[in-house]
Amino acid sequence: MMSSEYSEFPILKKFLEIGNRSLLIKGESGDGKKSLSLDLARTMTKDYNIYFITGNKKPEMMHTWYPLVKSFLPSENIIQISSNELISSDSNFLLAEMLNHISDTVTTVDDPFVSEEIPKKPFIILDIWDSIITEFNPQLKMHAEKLVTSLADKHNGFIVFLSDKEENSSLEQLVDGVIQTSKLYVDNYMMREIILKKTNGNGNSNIKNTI
Amino acid sequence: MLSHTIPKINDSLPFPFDIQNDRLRFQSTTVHNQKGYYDLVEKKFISAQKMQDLIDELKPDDSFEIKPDDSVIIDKIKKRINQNLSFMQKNTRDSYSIKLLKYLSNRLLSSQSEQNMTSVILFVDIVKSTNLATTLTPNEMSSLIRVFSQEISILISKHSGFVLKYAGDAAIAFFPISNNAEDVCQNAVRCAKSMNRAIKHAINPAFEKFGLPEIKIRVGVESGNNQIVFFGPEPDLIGSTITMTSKIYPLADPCQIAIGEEVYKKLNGATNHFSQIQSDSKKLPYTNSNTGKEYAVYLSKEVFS
Repeated sequence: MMSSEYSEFPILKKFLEIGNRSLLIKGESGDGKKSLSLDLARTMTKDYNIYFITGNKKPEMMHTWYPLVKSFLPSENIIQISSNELISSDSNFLLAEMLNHISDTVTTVDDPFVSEEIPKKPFIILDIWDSIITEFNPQLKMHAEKLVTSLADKHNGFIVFLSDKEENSSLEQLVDGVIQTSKLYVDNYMMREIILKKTNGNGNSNIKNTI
Repeated sequence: MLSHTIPKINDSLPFPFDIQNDRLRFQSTTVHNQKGYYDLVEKKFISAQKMQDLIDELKPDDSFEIKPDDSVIIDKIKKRINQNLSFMQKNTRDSYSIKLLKYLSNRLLSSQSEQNMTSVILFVDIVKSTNLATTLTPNEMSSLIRVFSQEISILISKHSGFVLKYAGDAAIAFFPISNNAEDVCQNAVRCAKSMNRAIKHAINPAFEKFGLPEIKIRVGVESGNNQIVFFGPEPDLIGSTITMTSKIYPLADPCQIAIGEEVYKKLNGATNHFSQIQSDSKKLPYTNSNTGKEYAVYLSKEVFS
């Protein structure tokens, strides 16, 4: 399912390279948000460790559906928060758990006399964001969004929010870039369309690309 | 507050001076059923066993000196360099041992900030490093400097010294003196010899294996007072001794050791290994404030090439 066309889109490549830290990809279910985020992640594996936080996909399912991700997204980096947990747990608690999982990964000293490799930064894809903040009031929602984006800043990392919601104004203001995905059919061929609604550092907005 | 938690060097605590109980840096913890320490600065866990191995490798040893036929030590250094040079094409940073040694040095100096410290100062630098920098790739040059810095830092620690700072292809070390000036001076001179022998018998052969050029060093050693000061976040030493040592070491030829007269006086039986500089062109244009006479510098008769 994954293609490399997205990452060939030069404005997106530049967006990642010039030091932006956050991106919102929004679109309806099936519009290719996950594929786009994973494809972007694939181009960043030299400097980043990829994490995928999901509500409904076990690691093995992710690897079956998107076999190409196996090379850069190991099972331990796919963090599943089940729908049961989402229903029964306090959203704040889930948020805290999620942050801890990423920021508290303990690295160990293997050989104290060998030069250390420069650690990779986290590239976090949040597939579950809509579910976590669904019960938050606007203030709490904004707080949570700030908390998560500051996590990316703190670790010099990058965070991608995936959202089905059409309106997400506070998050759209907070992140460095916003992409709208959609699909359209022409002569029985399905085409994916991505619109770069906001890309900090590129000086343009509402740039359309059809794949 | 800080100074109460940090033991001084002459408190007779064994190396690394109770660092495992340094709550500002280490927390005792267990990870994956292994007891050890969480380093709060590096955000890394080091097992108790690895910490002990590290301490054993770095702890001062008054009888330590690399001899040309000491194959066990030489092979160990070669093995360590081979491991490090195998990462030459990757982006790497200092090993954990280098960071720990720098921390011990900074911690000691910070605990005695703005005070005078009597110590032996040692300068070491790579001869003609500009030529190296223009012929090697940045990755090769940084790997060469990193290996050089690590190996001399380990030797400085084995000889009871501390790295004050690195400056590209050079390093400055200090060896604190309490009431054992002769021992410390002899330790520092032994350290200079060990450095030269490590370069000749371990570092250069390992460099050759990886296509890197051989290096030669110049070392200068002198003792006296300096003041511990802070220029920016890191502690530093300032004073006549460190300045004089910076003038002494360029007088040495490649692979040779230059010592000031204060160290020379404390070498006892080992003074016959050094001879005073007689050539007017090489003499320092300074007088010794203790004697009022011209500043005498001595060069090692042995050249370690």
